[in-house]
Amino acid sequence: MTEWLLAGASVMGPGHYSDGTPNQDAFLTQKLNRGFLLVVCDGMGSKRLSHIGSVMACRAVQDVISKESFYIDSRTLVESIYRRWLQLVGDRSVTEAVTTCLFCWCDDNGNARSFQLGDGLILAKKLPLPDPTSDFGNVTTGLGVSKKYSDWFINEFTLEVADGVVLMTDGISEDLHQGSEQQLLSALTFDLQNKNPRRIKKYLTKELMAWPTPNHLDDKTIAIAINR
Amino acid sequence: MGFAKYQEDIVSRYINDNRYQQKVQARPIQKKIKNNNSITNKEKPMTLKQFAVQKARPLPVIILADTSGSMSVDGKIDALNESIKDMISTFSEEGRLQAEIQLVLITFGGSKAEVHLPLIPVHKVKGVERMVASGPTPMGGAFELATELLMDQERIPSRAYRPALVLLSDGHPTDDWEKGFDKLQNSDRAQKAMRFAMAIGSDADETMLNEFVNDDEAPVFKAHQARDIHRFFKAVTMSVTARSRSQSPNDIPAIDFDEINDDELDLDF
Repeated sequence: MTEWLLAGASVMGPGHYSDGTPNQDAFLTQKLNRGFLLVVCDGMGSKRLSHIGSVMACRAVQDVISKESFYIDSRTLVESIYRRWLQLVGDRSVTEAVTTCLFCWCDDNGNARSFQLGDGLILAKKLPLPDPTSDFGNVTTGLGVSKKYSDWFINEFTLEVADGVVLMTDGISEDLHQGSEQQLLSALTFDLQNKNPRRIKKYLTKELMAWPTPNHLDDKTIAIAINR
Repeated sequence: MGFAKYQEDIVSRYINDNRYQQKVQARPIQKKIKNNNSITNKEKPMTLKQFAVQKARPLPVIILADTSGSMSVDGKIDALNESIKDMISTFSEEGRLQAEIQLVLITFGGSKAEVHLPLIPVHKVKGVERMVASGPTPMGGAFELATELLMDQERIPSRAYRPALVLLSDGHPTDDWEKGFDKLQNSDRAQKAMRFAMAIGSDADETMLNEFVNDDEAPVFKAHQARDIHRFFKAVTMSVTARSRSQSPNDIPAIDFDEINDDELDLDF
């Protein structure tokens, strides 16, 4: 039986403190009967209801995955999640609740599937990094904007013993040194594998609260799973 | 004799003594290795923060300024020089709030377009050489230089906010501007910059400038006199500083050129 260590943390961006708006990121870590689920969503800063959109996206992923087989076709899964999100957002204006959606679903044998719509980063040892974007920072797509399946970055990989997967919003990923991503993954997996989730959350929160990039604004959210 | 020996002794020991030099050079290297070990030491784990860039996200502002001969009439080039100076001083006060405003000035006048002020964080600008107006209007060359810069992910990284591209001209382009403009329009990255334009006087090619702007919120600004150049730059400065203070610096605030207070006297106190 594989033992999964799941943890995550989210901190409000300094910009939101000054204007009194809430944290627009949301994340979810859940152990499933067989495997685990990690979700990280980043509500679009300029949209009024994006803090609701991101929470609903986490719930939509959780709802759909709890009912579906791990081997469901990717397109059907993405459509079901999108429909569930639209249902949960309800009569609130969908275009005001725009959010990115990143999730990783893994079974008990370490077979993982990752899905990404919009900015942010999913890091795993055997997962290729997305091509360097031709966009500028914070120009993103997400639920409520995109209607294309091709906008989703979908991958499958395996998590061996001592391997980890990290999901993060662009508040973190945009400020990382380019090329240091795999080193970050190794460092986090190595350092955190023997800690408990509560300690990891405390550690990550402390790190994110003291983020060293000058004038950073964004909310920062990270979720991690380690096969230990 | 004794003194000469003493000098030779110093020279041999401190200048040409390879063994001594090797020792001196080796010292800091040993220190560096020691430092690296301390980072990768298991007792001192790497922190998440260590992977973060220590520089603020840039907000590039690219100005394409017409410095052709016609700009020397009616004090237009003087007004442009003053406006750029004012813009820099306003930006350097505001620029480090949320985003680091970076400025580049491309001029087109004479035989070819050229970079007058290379991309630099605005708070580091010590001064800008005065622009001089002469010759024809090689605007297409300016578009090509701007496209080249916007496509360069080393100079404008992907973490930068959407750049602002500001064009001002008082005449018709004299080179193959369409070729340069097509490059700008068709490049993945360069076309995403926010584009502002000002037409100075009745000779300006307004059709072309209308084609240049890509946002309904910021239509072509029409200047009739030199002092209108100040008004335009004030509007652009306000727009960029509003973005640099904003939670979402990629959203372009609406610009109402009429809102700029024209009654304000240009006095330095």
